[in-house]
Formats: sequence, structure tokens, C-alpha cells
Amino acid sequence: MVDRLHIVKGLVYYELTRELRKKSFYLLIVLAVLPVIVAIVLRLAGFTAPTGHPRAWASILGFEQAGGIGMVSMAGLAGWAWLVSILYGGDLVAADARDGLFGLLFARPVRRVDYLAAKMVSVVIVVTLLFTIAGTTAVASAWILVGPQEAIWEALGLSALLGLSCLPLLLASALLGAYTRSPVQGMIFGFAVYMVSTIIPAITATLIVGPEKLSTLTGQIELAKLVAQLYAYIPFVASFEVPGLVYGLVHGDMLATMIPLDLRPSQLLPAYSLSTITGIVMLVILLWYVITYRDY
Amino acid sequence: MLVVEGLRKRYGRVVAVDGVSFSVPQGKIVGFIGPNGAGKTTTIKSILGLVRPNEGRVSVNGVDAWRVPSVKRLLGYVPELPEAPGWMTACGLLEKLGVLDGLGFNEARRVAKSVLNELGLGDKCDIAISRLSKGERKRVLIAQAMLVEHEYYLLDEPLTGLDPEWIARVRRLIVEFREQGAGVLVSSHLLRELEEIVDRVVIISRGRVVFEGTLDQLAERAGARGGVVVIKCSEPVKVANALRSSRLVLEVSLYGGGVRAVIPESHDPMEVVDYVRRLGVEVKGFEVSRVSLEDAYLKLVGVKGDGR
Repeated sequence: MVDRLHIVKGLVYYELTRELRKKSFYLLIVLAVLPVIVAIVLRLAGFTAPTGHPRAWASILGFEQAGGIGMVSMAGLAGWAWLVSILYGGDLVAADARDGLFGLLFARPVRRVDYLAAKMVSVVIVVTLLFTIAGTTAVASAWILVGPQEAIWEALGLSALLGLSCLPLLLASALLGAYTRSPVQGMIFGFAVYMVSTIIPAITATLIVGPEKLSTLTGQIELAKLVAQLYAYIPFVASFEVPGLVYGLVHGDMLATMIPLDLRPSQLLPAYSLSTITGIVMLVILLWYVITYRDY
Repeated sequence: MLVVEGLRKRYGRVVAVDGVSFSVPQGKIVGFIGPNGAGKTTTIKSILGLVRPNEGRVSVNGVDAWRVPSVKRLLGYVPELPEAPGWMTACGLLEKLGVLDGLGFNEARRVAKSVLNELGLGDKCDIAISRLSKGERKRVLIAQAMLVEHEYYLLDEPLTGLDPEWIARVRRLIVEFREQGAGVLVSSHLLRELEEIVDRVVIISRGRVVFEGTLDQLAERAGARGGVVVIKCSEPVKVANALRSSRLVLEVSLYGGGVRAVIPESHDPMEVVDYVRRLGVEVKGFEVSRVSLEDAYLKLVGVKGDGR
């Protein structure tokens, strides 16, 4: 057992070294820090957002409509989450197969399940760290533009949760990358999964509601409600909504993005969370299966 | 003893390895010889569980290698292709793998430097693997198998991609493994690369073992230590049939306008020529040559492998 723990530690150390050497990690850090620079420039140029806008970071994180601080909403982390997922997922396992590392690792007494556990631990650390840094810069830029912000820890917590919400799409990309043994194909197929996951519920809901009703406000609300309900069955989309729903649940009166007015977060959060957790568990099992039963 | 029994691996309709069985005793070097695509790499990867065979069993010192992961600690492996994460330094890779071999983090660093020195890469320790030459990368992969001592080494074409100096040095290294008491399975598509160091050979062709034994047994089996006599004569079919029924030759075949006979080491080629003359056949000329072990191996692979 001690031996196995030592091996897992070694694997996690290796994985963290690998992740932290990626250029994409630093590119994303630069992107995350960009809003602070923009905010400073705007502040120096004399621009300030309307006052009286509580928790401006919520808008920047993407949990509600941008409103008065739309000028820095380019940082909307929820909007970046899918990109981070496919970037990190695509080569999570595929790069090791491509680089011949599988042969070197699995010729040693390294269990596939330990390898996968180390991958999961390190990618969760890295992605959570990335989003927490981005969340910190979101709070900082809001502070610069609209003054002192409240609930800073809440902002950081939700940012970290947003990082975790990447897992279903990240694991789907990792699975496809591992299957094709190509990081690029993992990323491309991961993107395809995300696109299909967002489009299919929309088309299905449109067909159910009836295209003729979409010209009316009632029809549009009905469509939005149906889409929100259908998303609960698709972890690749549902997971990204979980942090927004948590935010909505905490603040009651706030609107999470994409959630229609008369659907309360408390109605959707259990289904979305369950979908996310089920998706993660199933994808981890599938990934383990591919790693274990494919020849390398 | 490392024992492989009835290994079979199919990729769709293609049978890559077909009932391969052999053993590697400790303190011996076993040459695993076969042409490209014969199934050597698939067999070695199957032993390690990197490829999942359809049938068979591998045991190391009596323990099932596929069911007990800790058995892999007894096995050192050098892959055929010089592939490694290009972004890592040679030392970085070896340190990480050393930890997985059970070394402490600091100890792994020290051992990594030491084995890289031994393989002439001491000054390349902190250079990214992607910047190393193919031969240097191959040496890094040999080094990673030496981070800790193993009871068996599975070396898949370890000499490929190395320059002559390093071929000689790696050969010496393999002999050192044997001197330490380890069993070594070393693959190559050329017998002459290993002829001087192996104790036994396993010859594989088209997924099947066509020979397992010592070099002397190989020579005897293929008539390799004897010679070949090619006789141009007027009635080759008659001569071939007569030679087949005689005890003078190991093997006879039609060859151009005459016959080609493989004779054992104990026989004089001139006896065969005289025998043909006594048949009343006109001998237009003859040529005698020795057969090398490489020729013997190629003949064995060609005859058995192609089913000719």
C-alpha cells in the first residue's frame, strides 16, 4: 500500500510538472489577467461603470447578464470553460500514448487505475487553480472599475466550482483523445461533442414547441424553459450551468445566465448536479476501460 | 525463469503472434530473432501487458505476470522506438521513472545522473529529449531500464539506431546484465548483431517460433556449420532424388541447371561430387561454399516462414 502511494505521488508529481509546463496554461493565465489590464486602462482613461452595481464580479464570471460593466465581460469565465475543457482534455491521455510514455509507465508496476487517479487529481488541481486565478482577476477588475467588492470568497469559490464544472467535457475530450491516440483529434471531437450537446436540445425543443410559436413571447419563454430542462440530461452542458445555479440559489433574486425567469435555480440545480456527477463517473469508467483494454 | 506459453494475439483477421512459447532462464542471454513484422515487438509487449493477448500465459519465477503487477518490478524494458516525451529533459524523465521504480525523489535524481553518465549522456542531462539525436534518445531509453537492477531484461531492438561504437558498448552492457545473473531477452532482425553474445536463440517468423535452442543446435538444424555444394549436371532431377535418399546431404534442392545440397560439417563436399559422378551423370562443374549462422537463420526463416 505504501508502495502504491509512493507510485501515485510520483505520477501526480509528473503530471503537475507536465501541466505546468504547457504553454496553453500560461496563455490562459494571460487571458485571465487581461481584464485587470483592461480595467486599469479604462480607469486611467476616465471610464467607470455605473455605481450601485453590487457584486460586479458575478457579471464578469458570467453568472448574470453583463449590464453596465459589459466592457470587461470579455473575461466571462463561464464562456471560456468549454475551451479550457477541450484544451486540457484532448491531450490528457492521448499525449502519453503519442509520446511512447505508456510503454515506459505500464512496463513498471503502475496500475492503470492509479495512473488515471493521478491524472484526475492533477487536472483538477490545475483547472481549479486556473479558474481561481481568473476569478481573482475578475474581482480585481470589478474593484478597479466599480469600487470595493463584497463576497470575495464567494467569487473565488464559484470560480473554483466553475473549474470543476469543466470535468464532463474535459473527460469526454480525454476519452476521444485516448481512443484516437491523438490530442488534436481529442480536442476537435471534444468541441464537436460540445456543439452537438448545445444544438440538439435547442432543435428538439423548437420541434416540440413548434416553430410557429417562436414569434410570440410566450413561445420563446416556453422554448427557453424546455431547453433548460433538456440540458439537465446532457452533462457536457449542464455542468457549466451548475456554478451559475449555485450563485442564483444563494442570491435568490439574481438571474443565472440561460435560465428563464420563471424557472428557479432550486428547481434545476438537483437535476443539473446529478447529471454532472453521473457524467463524470461514467466518463471516468469509460476512460479507465480505454486505458486498460486498448493495446499500446 | 521467465516462461511464455502459447501466446496468441490477433488484430482483427491478422494473427500477429500464433502460439508462441519459449523461456528465458536467469543468467542467460536469449536472442529473439525474426524479420520485421514477425511478431517480436508484439510478443515482448504482451509479456509486459502493454498488449493484451487473446491467449497464453506469462510467468516470472512461477508468478503470473499479468495478474500480479508487482512482478513487473523484476522486468526492465527497452522499447523498440526511441519515443519519449520530447518536452522533458533526459534527467527529468529518468527521475520520474526512477520514482515509479521505487526510488525516493532525491535518490532517483542521483541514480538518473549516474546511469546517463554510464551511457555517455552525462552532459545531456538537462537537454530536452526532443533535441537529442535518435541514437541518444535510444540510449536514454536504455538508461531508464537501468535505474534499478532487474532479474530480467526485455530489450526490443536495443542496437537499432546506435552507431558502431555504441553497438559494441551496449553489447558489453547486455553481457554485464548476464554476469549480474539476470536473464536477458534481446530482439533483433539480424542474428549477426547478437551472434557473439547470445546463449540461446528463439527464431520467430510470421508469428510462430520456428526454432528455439543454442547456436550449435541452430547450426546443426540448418546445416549451417557444414557447407553448400552446387553441382551443375545433366540430369538434376535424377541427381536430387538420388542425393535425397543418400545420407550424404542434409537438404537438396533444384538450383538453376543443377542441384544445391547442404552437407553436414562432418562430410567432405567432394564425396557428394564423386557420388553424383558415380550415378553416371555428367558433372559440368561445381562450387563449394561455407554457410554462416546468418545464412542458416535466413534459410530457416525463409523456408519455414514462407512455407516454401
